[in-house]
Amino acid sequence: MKTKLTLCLLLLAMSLPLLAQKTTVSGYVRDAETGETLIGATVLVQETSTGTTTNEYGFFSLSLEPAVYTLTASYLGYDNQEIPADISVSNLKIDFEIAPAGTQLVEVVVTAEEEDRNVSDVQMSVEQLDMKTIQKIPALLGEVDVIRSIQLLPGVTTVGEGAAGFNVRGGSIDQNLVILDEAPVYNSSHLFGFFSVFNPDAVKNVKLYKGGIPARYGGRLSSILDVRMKEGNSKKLNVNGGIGTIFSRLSVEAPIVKDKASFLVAGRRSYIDVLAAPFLGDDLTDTKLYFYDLTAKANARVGEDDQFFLSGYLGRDVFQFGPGAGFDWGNQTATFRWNHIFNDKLFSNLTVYYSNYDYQINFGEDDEDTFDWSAKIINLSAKPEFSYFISPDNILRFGGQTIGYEFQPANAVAVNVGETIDISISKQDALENGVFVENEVTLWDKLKLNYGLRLSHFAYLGGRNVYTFGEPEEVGLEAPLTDVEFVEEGEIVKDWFNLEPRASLQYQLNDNSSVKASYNRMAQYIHLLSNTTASIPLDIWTPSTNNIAPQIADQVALGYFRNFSDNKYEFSAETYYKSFDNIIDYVDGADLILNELVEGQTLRGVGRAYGLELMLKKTEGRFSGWVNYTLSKTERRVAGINNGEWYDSRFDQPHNLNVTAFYELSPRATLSGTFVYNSGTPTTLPSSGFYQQGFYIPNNDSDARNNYRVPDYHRLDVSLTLDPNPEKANKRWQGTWVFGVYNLYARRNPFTIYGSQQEERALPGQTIDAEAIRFSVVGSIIPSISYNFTFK
Amino acid sequence: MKVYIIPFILFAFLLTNCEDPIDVPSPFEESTVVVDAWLTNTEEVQTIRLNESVDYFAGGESPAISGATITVCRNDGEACFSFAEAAAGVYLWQPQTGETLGSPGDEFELSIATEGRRFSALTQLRRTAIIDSISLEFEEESLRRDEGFYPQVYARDLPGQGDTYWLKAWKNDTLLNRTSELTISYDGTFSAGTNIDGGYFLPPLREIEPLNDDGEPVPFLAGDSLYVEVHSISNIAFNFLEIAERQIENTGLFASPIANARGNIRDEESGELILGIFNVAEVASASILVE
Repeated sequence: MKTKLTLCLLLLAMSLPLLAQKTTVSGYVRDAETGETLIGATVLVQETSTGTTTNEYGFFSLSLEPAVYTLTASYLGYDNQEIPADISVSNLKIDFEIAPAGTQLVEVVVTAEEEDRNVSDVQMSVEQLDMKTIQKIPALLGEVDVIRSIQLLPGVTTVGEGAAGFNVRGGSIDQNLVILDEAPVYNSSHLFGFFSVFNPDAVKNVKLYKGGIPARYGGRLSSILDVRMKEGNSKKLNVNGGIGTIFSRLSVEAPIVKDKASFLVAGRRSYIDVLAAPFLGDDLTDTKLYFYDLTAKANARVGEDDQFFLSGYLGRDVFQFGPGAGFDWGNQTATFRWNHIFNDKLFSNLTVYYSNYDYQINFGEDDEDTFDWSAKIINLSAKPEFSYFISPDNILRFGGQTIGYEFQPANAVAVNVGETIDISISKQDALENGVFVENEVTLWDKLKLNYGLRLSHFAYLGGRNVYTFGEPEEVGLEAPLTDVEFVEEGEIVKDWFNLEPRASLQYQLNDNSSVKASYNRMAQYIHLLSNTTASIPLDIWTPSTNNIAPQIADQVALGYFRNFSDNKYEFSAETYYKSFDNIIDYVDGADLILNELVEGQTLRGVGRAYGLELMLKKTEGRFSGWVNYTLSKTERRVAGINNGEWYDSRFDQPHNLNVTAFYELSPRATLSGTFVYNSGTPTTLPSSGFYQQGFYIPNNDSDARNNYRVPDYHRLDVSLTLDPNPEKANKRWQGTWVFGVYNLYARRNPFTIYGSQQEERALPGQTIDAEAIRFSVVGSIIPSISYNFTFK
Repeated sequence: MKVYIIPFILFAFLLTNCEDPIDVPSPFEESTVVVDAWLTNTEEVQTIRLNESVDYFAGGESPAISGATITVCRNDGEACFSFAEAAAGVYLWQPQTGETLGSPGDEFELSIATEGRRFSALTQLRRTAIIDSISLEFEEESLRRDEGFYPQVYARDLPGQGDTYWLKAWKNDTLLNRTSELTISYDGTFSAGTNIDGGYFLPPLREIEPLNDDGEPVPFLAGDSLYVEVHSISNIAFNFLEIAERQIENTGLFASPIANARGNIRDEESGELILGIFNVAEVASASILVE
């Protein structure tokens, strides 16, 4: 089925050139200093005022009437480059190498994109941050952080400080597809949620799709966070590093063959344990707490038409409590990519990736009593994609993807008084396939359309016991097991097909304003089983099974985009409405870990989210930054929870205001500030208490869910970045100091409010006191200093 | 599962200075009837308490419900036992010498009549685990524990799936009744669904670790005594205590949604569950003196 469709699409693409009587100029746009390809750089044809932007690999293609033209490549923060192009007779290849704009002004680049792309691009609900911006945002403990930075964008929230992941337009954290060079990263946090796993030294570009998601992406309901790694400097050796409060970092990038092949290796490690070691006693020598990550990439250009990339990531958090207890977790990814230019108009990319998230826990001081437990999610995927540049106004993309999954919910072996007990949960296999076609066209000069269709298929495979559950005694209670059947390996237990239409439309009102609309349907086949306020690293992923249906979401969004003062200011207003089907919730007291019958403890419900996002950006000048405000609502309805009525989701935040500002005090010094204001998230407080055998047990009499809001959250952070003296720009060693203060006015922002009981032991017959406790993750002001260097 | 919490507790410990009391509006509306009917088939006095629930955060004494008629009947009326009110809200049944409520396998019905309402519940007396021995292991000082003895109760689950137990311990006659000292087990493990059966209680279920007011473990030293009982409880009672334990200290970053401990006593008219639970347990016991 799938191969046939791909073949048809391919044939369609091949036949199209016959229709066009044009010649083509194509090539790459690269950074002149590092050789890195530039994503989203603009290539303009001066004579016709038409143009295009480079794709994710820095490639562009323009098909024009045969003539002699002058092309200009531009990219914000870079000098323009003009190259004449004679395509009057035949096709031509041009590679631009543009240089970063003079270092006299260390200007913060708020978005690295075509100056009016905000208005003119068909894509809406997308946020792009480049690393230069992320690096200037005041960060917790001075650690530059991709995930924390995107939380400053409209429509992106978190359930609380220190919680793993992020929520986009009412979606839970597992509804974000976080991809690093196309390989999914299943847990994007170090230390439970305080720091993200992406090493800023290795990241080139971060793009977040919140809506209007193009057909080439699939698999999650709410967003795609596309993180692209740097390729490595192909011109000369470059060493970057830094000493921060938490991490020390070092990265090396260099050409292997100048302009042809290069590599990048970047590592980080926390070092609190190293610093603390001398202060700990001998009996604590086996106590460890550290986390690290290693990112590497190599690429090679072979001839004019092929480029190969190999990239990998390895990260781990390690906790060791004496010799008898250990806990560690981490992600591993590996990506191989092959860019091939079939002809001047047909660009292809083949990605093959491997991704693995696993954790391990060990207990036991002797061989008689041990407990070894691990869990994993592994996937292997191949993903061919083709871009066919029919004309500057018409691009066709098509491709497919196949993903093989292996879930190992628990490999757990206990040795109990010498007896070995295996409480493992059998692995689950699944296969996901998708094909898509996507067409971006401009009609009547003013209307741009990107419409597409994705067909996805998911099969839950055998090789294990398959459970059937009956109706629960009451709605909202655990479903009883009624049948167990072993299904042979490779056999399909259950499978689903979903058609996912996608469309975006942009209408240019005048030179500096436009309206856009979009619709997308997304299907999600794998789910994170998580029932805690903040996700824990032990939460496991599960495929859709005969008892857990795929989640589906539909979203419509409408926006108005307007730029002022020669694109210095960008304004946008977007509204969205999103509905969710088959979202997963859990019965009271569900046990999600080490539970073979966990499917019987899941509940199924619906959700809805809607909101208004306002954003004003100033993109250039000594003073730059953005202000955004989001008004939103996120609700769920699940039979068995909140008496079956709609309730606010745990991460619902009606008001959300972010202000991020940068001010250049001098060519060297930049002052940055962030102010965040959120409505408090809802939680549930018990109403009554009762005694049983001396225990004082809280009870929620009305069964209401999320009936109380924790106080509002607000915080101000500032930082001062001292870049190297521009007069010494030619020195090989360049140092940057960053002084930061997080939570400047030391507000004790509550993460949540909960009930807690007295610490004193109650004697039989005595009453027990309970009180409401405000729990703050960051209770005071946190200063930091970090030093970063570049050696070139 | 209990063991996996440990790293989080340690991590949470790093953050505990970020906790402080706050006043919240109470969602409490009205008191309801609470029945505390945890009985055993021993020859001791059996107690059932009838009270009203209170505002959770306001706390205080639970008002007693007096004047109720309470009976427990075995196997469809084969034998009935009346509980007489001895103090306000406290109803007792005093067995004669050699008399007990029944034996494993027997079914019991609780009937309560008070202020024009009738409540009833059914339960089955289940068999309890066998306590083989209590070991005393001396431990050197470590990160978490002071030097001293940490006893382990080698209780063995009976063959057959679905046995649930409550292990109670007294150190020097003080009942270890903190929530974090509550030990319940499903077939010797932490929860249902493992297919493990007939083994010794897994660590840390079998470890007796009294805590002081700061939540630190206190070792047993020479002269200390330990008395333990393993009560057989119904699966409903197991789930009840499991949820209660989690809800009493449901704190921090990784709190789970609120859930109610669900009992088995219903209002006969409305069919609604009321607060509290009825369980009849068989009891195994053992004791040791540290020398």
